[in-house]
Amino acid sequence: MIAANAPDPTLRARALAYLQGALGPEAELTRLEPLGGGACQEIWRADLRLAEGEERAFVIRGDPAVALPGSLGRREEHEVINAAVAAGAPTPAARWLTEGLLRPGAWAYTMVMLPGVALGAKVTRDPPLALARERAPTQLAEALAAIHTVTPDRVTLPLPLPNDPVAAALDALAETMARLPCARPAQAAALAWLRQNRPPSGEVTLVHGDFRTGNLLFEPEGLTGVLDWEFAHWGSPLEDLGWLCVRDWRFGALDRAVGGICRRAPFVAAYTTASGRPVSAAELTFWEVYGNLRWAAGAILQGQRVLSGAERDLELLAIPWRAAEMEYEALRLIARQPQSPRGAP
Amino acid sequence: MRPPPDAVAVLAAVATFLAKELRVEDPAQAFRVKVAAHLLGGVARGLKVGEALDEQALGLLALLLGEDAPEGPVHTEERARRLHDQQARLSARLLAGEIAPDDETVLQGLRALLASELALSNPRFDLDDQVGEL
Repeated sequence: MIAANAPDPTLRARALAYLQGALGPEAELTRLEPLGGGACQEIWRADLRLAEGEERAFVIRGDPAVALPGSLGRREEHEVINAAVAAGAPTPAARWLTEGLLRPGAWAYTMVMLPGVALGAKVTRDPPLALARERAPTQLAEALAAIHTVTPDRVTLPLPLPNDPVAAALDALAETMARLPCARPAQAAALAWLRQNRPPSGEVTLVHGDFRTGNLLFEPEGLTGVLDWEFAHWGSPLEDLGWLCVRDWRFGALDRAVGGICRRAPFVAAYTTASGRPVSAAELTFWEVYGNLRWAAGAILQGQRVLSGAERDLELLAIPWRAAEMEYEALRLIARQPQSPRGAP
Repeated sequence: MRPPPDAVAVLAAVATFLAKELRVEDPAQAFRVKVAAHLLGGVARGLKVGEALDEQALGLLALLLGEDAPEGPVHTEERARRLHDQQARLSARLLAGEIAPDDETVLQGLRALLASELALSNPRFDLDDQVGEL
């Protein structure tokens, strides 16, 4: 029986020629199928048998028909990933960049398929991953510290370079909020608070942009890989720390603020050790409020894609209702802060 | 009057069936069934108490805007229009700095507004200030 989602024979032939070009003419394609995951991604799993009988599993990532706003194309993503790999980030290298493999004009690249579990419910709770969660504060901190050693003065990447990464982040957020179908007073309050309490512009580094439970692969021994680089950008490194603490990535493990995996204090201490960068509680709170607000606005926009008819995914339809949770969390974080001085310049 | 069950009862029953009774082998499909149940449950709660919560929201928004609360019940469309309008004006005033975002009363009012939305979308959401890691 042929599965409903079986690839068309032309794609199979093209994929085989592409992979043989990289791995040798004896390589056999034993499996080619779409991988579940992001509704807005074009991801294929390709299993191969090489000349010596060795079995290898790969992932081919291609440009989707409709890209999410603010996301990178595969050509740019390929460069970003390889810069991160060169800096020691635990992520598989992006190989064999090609155009027109999956669709005319669409770029694609291939990575080794890593073992491990990414699913939030498992990562935060599964007993076999207990040791991985114990090691997580250090491993997550070291992965981020490695990514954040990629800086624009040392590496050229096809990404816009902001003068002031904090202002650029706040502007991007305001633009997203302006596209929402309804005004959200809680979001307006949180954005106003962020503007009043912004840290100095600080340094600019590579920011993963979606470093969170769900995009991190774990085996029982620990972190095996960091996935999904499509929101990478030049920005403030602390943005990645705040994003990892956004409420929605805790999957109900609310006492473990860092992605439902561990608490803030050991993670931040490990990050400072690995990066040499001190992180104040106020800075982390700023970027955590920012992250919750970014996801609150983004969640509402995700639902718009279904309502506009561009997508037909039931899960996307349920996402906008989560916005209120992130808004509430942002206000809860703000309420815990000492009030900012009134009338100060 | 039509005989029961009404829309709320039907939606609630179907949501319970999807969430608690239906057995689906495929994990991806099983997850989508849970999502469907969650959506129907939210719609059922909205039909039941949505109007009352919207009335409450209109009052809260008026308070935050320093305006008089609208008088008497209004029909659904008018209420939606007023809500939309009040939310837009409050957002604009917060962004313009006319209302302090970290004022305790403002924060409390905004959180109460969100609490009424969460009562529909996720009644199990913990509104407690001490939840989780501080």
